[in-house]
Amino acid sequence: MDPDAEEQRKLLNDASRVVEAQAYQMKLALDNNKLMDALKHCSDMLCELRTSLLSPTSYYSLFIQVMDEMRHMESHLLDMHRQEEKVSDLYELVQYTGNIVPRLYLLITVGAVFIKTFEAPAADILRDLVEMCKGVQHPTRGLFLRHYLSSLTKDKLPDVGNEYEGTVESSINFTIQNFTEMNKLWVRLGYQGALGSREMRNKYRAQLRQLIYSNMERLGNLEGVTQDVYIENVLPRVLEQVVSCRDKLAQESLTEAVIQSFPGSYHIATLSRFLEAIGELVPEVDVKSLIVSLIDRLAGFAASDEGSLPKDLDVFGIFSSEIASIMESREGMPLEDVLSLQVSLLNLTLQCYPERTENVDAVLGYCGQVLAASGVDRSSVTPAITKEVAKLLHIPVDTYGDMRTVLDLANYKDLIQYLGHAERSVTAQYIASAVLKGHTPLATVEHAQDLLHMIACLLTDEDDAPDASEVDAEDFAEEQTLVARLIHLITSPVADVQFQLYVVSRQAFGKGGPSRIKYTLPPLAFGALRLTQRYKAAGLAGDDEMWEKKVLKVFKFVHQTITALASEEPELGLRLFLAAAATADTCGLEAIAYEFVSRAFTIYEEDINDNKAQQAAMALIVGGLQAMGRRSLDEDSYETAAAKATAHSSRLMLVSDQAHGVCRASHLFWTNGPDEDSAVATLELTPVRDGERVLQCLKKSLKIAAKCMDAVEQVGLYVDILEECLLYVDSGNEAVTAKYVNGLVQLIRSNLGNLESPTLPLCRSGPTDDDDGVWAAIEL
Amino acid sequence: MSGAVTVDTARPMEHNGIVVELVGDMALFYDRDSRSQFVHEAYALADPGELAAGVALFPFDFGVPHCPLESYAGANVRVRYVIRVTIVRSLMQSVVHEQELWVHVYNKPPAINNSIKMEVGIEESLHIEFEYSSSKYHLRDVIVGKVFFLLVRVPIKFMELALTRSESTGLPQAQAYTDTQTLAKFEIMDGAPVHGESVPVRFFLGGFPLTPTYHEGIKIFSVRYYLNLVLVDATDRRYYKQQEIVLWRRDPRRITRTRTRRTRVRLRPGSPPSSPPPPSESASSGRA
Repeated sequence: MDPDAEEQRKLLNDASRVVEAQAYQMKLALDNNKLMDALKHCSDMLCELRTSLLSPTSYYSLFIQVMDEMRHMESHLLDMHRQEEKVSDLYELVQYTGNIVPRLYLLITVGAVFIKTFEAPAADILRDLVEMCKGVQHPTRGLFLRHYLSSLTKDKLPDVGNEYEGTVESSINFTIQNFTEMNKLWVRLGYQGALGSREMRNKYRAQLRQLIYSNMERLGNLEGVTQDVYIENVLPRVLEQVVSCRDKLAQESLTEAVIQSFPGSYHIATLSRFLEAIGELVPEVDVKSLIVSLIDRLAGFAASDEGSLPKDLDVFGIFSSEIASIMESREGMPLEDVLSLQVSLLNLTLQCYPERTENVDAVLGYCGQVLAASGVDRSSVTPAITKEVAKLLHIPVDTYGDMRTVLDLANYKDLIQYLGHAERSVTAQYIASAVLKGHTPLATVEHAQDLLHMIACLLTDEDDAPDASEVDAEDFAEEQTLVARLIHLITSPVADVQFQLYVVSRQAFGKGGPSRIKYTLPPLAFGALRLTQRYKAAGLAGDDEMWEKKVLKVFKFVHQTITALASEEPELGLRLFLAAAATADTCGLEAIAYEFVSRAFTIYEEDINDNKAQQAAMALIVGGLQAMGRRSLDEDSYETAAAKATAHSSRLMLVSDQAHGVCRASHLFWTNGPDEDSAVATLELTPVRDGERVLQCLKKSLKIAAKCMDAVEQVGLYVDILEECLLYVDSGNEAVTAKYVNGLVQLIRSNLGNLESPTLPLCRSGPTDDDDGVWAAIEL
Repeated sequence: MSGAVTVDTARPMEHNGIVVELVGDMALFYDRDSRSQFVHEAYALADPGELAAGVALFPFDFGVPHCPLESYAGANVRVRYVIRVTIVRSLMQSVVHEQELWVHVYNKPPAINNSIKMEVGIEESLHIEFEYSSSKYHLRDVIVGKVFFLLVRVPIKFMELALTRSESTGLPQAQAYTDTQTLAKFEIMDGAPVHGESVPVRFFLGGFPLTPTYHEGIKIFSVRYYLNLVLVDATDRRYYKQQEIVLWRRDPRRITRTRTRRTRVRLRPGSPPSSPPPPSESASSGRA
């Protein structure tokens, strides 16, 4: 065990035992009505409080014990009064006590009884007591003595609503004087006394904080302390003491006590004065926390039922100018504290003046200036500053919900530059999510630009971005998906504006590099394609005469976009070109549609090298071409494209792919007519019906299948080809004759016979309802 | 000063007269020759003749005698008053009976009563200024004052007031004996103040055995009272400043001071509740 603690315990025990013994004697004497004896024992008991040996904690225990015993004396004195005995001489009598500490405890006790019995004017007694207590200058003993004074008189202060003789002012004077003296002693405790290190002393002081606090509560509880009285008589004096004591701990605690002890409306009425006083506190004081506390209190007050901020008082303005001058006077204030203050101010204005966005902007602007002046940049920013800046960025988002309001804040956007990459990315995603969550379309170029500026770190690899290898792929995908979704909210009902929005977005997305554009450009391209439909619809409705030109522009844009993407993501590019071609086709833009198709071919030829990819790509091309048919493409263009597709199909790597490919390509020569349900039915769709070419394809396919070395696979291919044939037979292609089909069936049958196991090879497609007959034909 | 002498005799007694005397004398204990009478008044209660057996009553009345000194019992000097009754007899020894009186002399309130104000200090370590409300106090007065700390560079432990009586006897130059006695010690401050503090002083005198101040009473002795302000530092070193205060006796019948509301609280002096003044053995009287 700690020898000091052991020693303390022993000392406390000894003292406590003396107190017990003397208290016993005192009570005995009181019971026998021997007041003089009782006072003597009482005084002896109180003498134990003269010790300098106890630590404040032990002293406190002893004090509590003594205080308990003193209640007996107090109640006995009150009884004496009830028995009509004269006790007034006691006030003098106890002052003969030779030692000051017991003398004053007794004096306070008697004085309290006097007030209680209305034998003396409360105000006079209080004034006398508080003055006499100056005799104890020892910090600990003085503090406890004055605490005793304060506790014994707390229900005896003259006030509005009680009959104690004296004015409220006298109560205020008393309380403030006691408070002032207590505070001085408390401050002194930090510098004097054998309490070990400075740190230790401040720890002890913090434990005693409540003693000082309670005085503020007393003042706050006085009915007579109205707002006017507070302004005139209370605050100036309290502040004077707080400012003049020049002690960090005291200034912090007391300012806090004032903030908490008086109503919000009082603070509002004295805001400037109070803030000025805060500005005068010693430099070590954590001014930030105090102001934050005050702001929170006011914000709470404004939000509560009882109070609203006065209309004629610009609370925000006062705060902001006072805070600015406090900042000026405190050069060494850490940047994070400066910002933290502004965060509070931001909260205040958002709570009290939600409609005044200019306040918010002013706060943000100020922060921007401070940050700029500090020379901090994203690479040198500390976690503490980061935290505050992030708050500055997040709070408006949380409060307004509508990102347009946030983006309208001129000073908002640049703040994000002070965040390090990770935090910037988090914030950007936060903002992006807010846009999505709010479903608030950003309909102007400015908004879009602002937003893109804010989330720039998601759009490009900025110079401080971490190495790609360090980024979690899943997170990255999620982040980019988020960005991609944004495009759907960057929308305007005005088509022209919409196009500009896309252009702006495109510029921003385009810098994203290969890893990003595969996420971001496709929705953009699709958006643009949708836009062409809007133009077209407007054009057809006669609303926009220029629509064709505009559509052209859009397609040009789409072309660029896809081209950019295609160089990195050929397969994706190919699909998008096909989609674009289809869209151009529906607009009847032959040249453009053809261009897109040929771009698709180019990609296929130059950039798609993988077997499977080639196979899949060719399936897409054929499918796309077939769907377009000859709506806008003229015969030559279509012919060229179809021939090219067929050729490419036959040049696929695997035999089976070739066979399937050619087979599929046959459909390019046998397309459907206009679909009744189609939205694009307005354009004439010329069907392609070239039975011979179809047959050529089927034959070629069969020839290829014949090269197949795997018997089972070969039969499968044959069956697939047979199915295609039957499809054509069904759709009336006369070039595919029954003879040909029968031949094919024959071929299959013979091949099946050659198989070692008579298992039916897997067909690529299952039977359908209308080809029952065919199944019958090939069944053995 | 009046009374009656009762003579109770079993047999008739012849006498040459019955005399009553009022005697005030003063004596130094260490010097038998110093005894001196400063009051002697006498008159005959009865002319020579015979006292019959039984009780006889002889009233006497000295009127208002001039008593320049109070009764006093000090360390080295005594002032006493006696009523002496002598039944003078020629053949047999005279019958003498003495009864001591305790005389208080009420003083007029001092015409001038300045406060005591003084700045004292030790260079660079301790400077204080103290102030007592007056320099002259009646015996049941209260000393009210303040101590201001102008400079405190020593770790003060406490401050107290000591009330001392200094009794000097003998002729001032020749063989003066001085006896000093501390009558009361009264702590007025606990702990160490800092620069700028002021500490109140309130010291009730009524509880202590005091006499008025005598300045060379009849040139043989003097009694003076001093208030000693003592500061004690952590190393028990004492710093003090002594100030004489003049005490006087107030006529208790003349308390006609304006009673402010405050006096109810008795912050100002009144009669002390239970502390008796020096022993008084018999009725006292004084001048109106």
